[in-house]
Amino acid sequence: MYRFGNPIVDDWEGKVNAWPLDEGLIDYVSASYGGPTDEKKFVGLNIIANPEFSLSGTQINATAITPKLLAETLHEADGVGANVATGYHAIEFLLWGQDLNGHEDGAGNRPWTNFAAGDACTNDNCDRRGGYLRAATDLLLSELEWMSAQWTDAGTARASLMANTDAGLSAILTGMGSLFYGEQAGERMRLGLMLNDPEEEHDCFSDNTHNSHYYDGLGVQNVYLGEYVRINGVLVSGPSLSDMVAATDTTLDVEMREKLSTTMMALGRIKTAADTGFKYDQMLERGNVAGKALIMGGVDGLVNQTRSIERAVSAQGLSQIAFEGSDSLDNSDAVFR
Amino acid sequence: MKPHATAILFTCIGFTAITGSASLAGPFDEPHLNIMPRTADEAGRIFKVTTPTATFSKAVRFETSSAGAATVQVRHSADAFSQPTRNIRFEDKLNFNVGKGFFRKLWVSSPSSTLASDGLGSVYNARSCHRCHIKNGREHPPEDNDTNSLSMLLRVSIPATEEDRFAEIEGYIASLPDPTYGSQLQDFAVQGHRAEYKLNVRYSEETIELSSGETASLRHPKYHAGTLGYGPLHRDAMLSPRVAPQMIGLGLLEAIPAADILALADPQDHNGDGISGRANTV
Repeated sequence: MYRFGNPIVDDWEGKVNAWPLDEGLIDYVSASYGGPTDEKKFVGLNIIANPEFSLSGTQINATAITPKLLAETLHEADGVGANVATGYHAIEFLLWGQDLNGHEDGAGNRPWTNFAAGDACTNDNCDRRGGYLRAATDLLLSELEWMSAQWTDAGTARASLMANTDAGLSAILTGMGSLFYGEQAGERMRLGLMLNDPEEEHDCFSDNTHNSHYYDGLGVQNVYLGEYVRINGVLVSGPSLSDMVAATDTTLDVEMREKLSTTMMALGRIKTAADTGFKYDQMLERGNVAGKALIMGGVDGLVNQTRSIERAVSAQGLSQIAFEGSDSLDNSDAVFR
Repeated sequence: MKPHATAILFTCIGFTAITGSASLAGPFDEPHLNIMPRTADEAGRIFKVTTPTATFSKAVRFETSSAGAATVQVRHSADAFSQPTRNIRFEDKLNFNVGKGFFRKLWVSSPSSTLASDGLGSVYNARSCHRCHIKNGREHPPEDNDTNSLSMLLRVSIPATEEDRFAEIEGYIASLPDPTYGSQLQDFAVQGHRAEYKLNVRYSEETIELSSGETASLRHPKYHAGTLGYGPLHRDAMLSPRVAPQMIGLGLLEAIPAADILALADPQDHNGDGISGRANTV
C-alpha cells in the first residue's frame, strides 16, 4: 500500500518478494518439468549441490552459504534489481518444493528427508540445503527489520510520507490505486489468466496465492478504514481516509466503502473456493469457466474500485500535487480535440 | 536473407497506449493497433494544427500540449516516464498494466515451475525488458571499472554481400550477424554456461582550449569486447555500442500513421528543405 510513490519501499520490494524464482539456481528441480533437452544436463548445477560453480563465467565460491553470499555475491554476479534467489519465495520453495501437479490438485511436496541428517537424507546435500534455508531466512528477517525501522518515529519512510500532508495523502490514495489496478489486478491476476500457466500465481509452491490476494485487498481496505484486527483479535483503529473523504463528500465515502466490500467479497470467494480444495492454480487452467469467473470477479472489483479512488483524489483536491502544469488541461484552448 | 515483415516502426509489445491513427490496407497495415480511422475532416484539422510555424515571436498555439489530449503532464517521480497517454480510456488501463507486467517480468532458467516465465539464456543481456530500460528512461554507459554493463551493449555485424541487400530500398546498407555471436553480444549466462563477453570501456580525457582562455575536458570512450567466451569474433566484425533508449513517447510514435511517414520521407529532398528522409522498413 505504501510501496508506490515511496522509493524506500518500492526499491526494496524486489529483494524480498521477487517472482518468479530461479529455483534451478538454488536446488534440484525436476527435469520432467519441461525445457529443452540440452538444458537438462545443467539441471544439477545449483548452489546447494555445488560449493563452486560458474555464473556468467565468474567462478562463485559457495562453500559457506551465508546471507552475504546470497545478498551480495549472487546478486552482483547477475546484476538484476530483484534478487531471484532470495526472499519469501526462496523460503517457500525450500519448504514446499516444486508443485509438479500442473492444473491438478496438489501443492509442492518436498519430503522432510530433504533436510534429514545422515543416511536419512534424500536428494543429497541436506546440510547445505538447511544452510540455504537458514541463510535465506536470516536475510529476510534482516530485510524486514530494516523496513520496520524505516517506519518508526525517526524512520526515513515515515519522514518522507509525513513531510507534506497533501503529498502524503496523495501518495496513499494513488498507492491504493497503483496496487489495486496496476499491480494486483493487472500484473498478478490478469496476466496469469492470460498465460494459463498453473504456476503463474503468486505463491506457486505452497498454493497459498488466494491468501496473498485476499490479504493484499484487506490491507488496502484497512488503510482506508483506518483499522486493523491484530492476530490476537484486538481491533486497532484511528482516524481514517474514510473520515476525511466523508467530510467533503459523504456519498463518495459510501461508494468507496461499498466497492471495497464488493472487492473483498470477490477476493473472499477465491479464498473460500481455494480453502475448500479448488486451488488458484486450478482456476488458471485454460477453459476452466468457474476459475476464470472467480479470478475475473476479483479483477473487476479491483478495477472498479480504482475509479472511486481516482474520484476521491480529485475530490480532495489532491490531483494537483502529483502533476505540474495541470492548468493547461483546464484551459480547453490549450488542447485540440 | 531478406526481411519480410513490414511493421514500419519499432514497437514495444503491449506497453504503448494507442490513441488512434489512420488505417492502411496492404503491406503497411498495422493489425496490432487499435486504429480509429481518421475522417477527411480530422486529417485536415490535424494537418492544420501540425503545420510548423513560420514565426517565432510567441508561443505556438497548443505548444504546451504537443500531443494534444494525449499529453501527459510533468510529474516529479521515478515513474515520470511510465504513464499511459492522458486520454487513455479507463478500461484500457488494464491492458496498459498487463503490458507493463510483461515488460517488468523476470525470466528464469529452464526447467522451472513457471512454464510461461522460464527459458532464460543460455546467454542473455538482462532478465527482463525493464532491467535495461529502467523506469523507461534512457540509460547510460558504464563508468570505468564498473562490474557490469547493464543497459549498454555491443551490437556486432559483418559486411553483407550484394545478394543480401534489401533491393526495394534504395541505398540500403546491408549487414549480416557474426557467424558465432549473432547480432548482439550478451554478457550474462545461466549457471554452467560462459557469457559471450564483457564490455570494457576505457575513457581518455582530452583538454580543449576555448576562445577566451578557458579549457574544457572531453571524454573519449574506447569500447572493447573483452573476455570472449566462444572464440574470436569474425575478422571483419564491426562493433556498435548502444545504450538502452527511453521508452517514453513510443505510443505517440506509434500513433503516427505509416502513410504520413512515407508521404514525408522525401528521399531526394524535392522540397528543398535540406532533409532527405528514408523510411526504414523493418
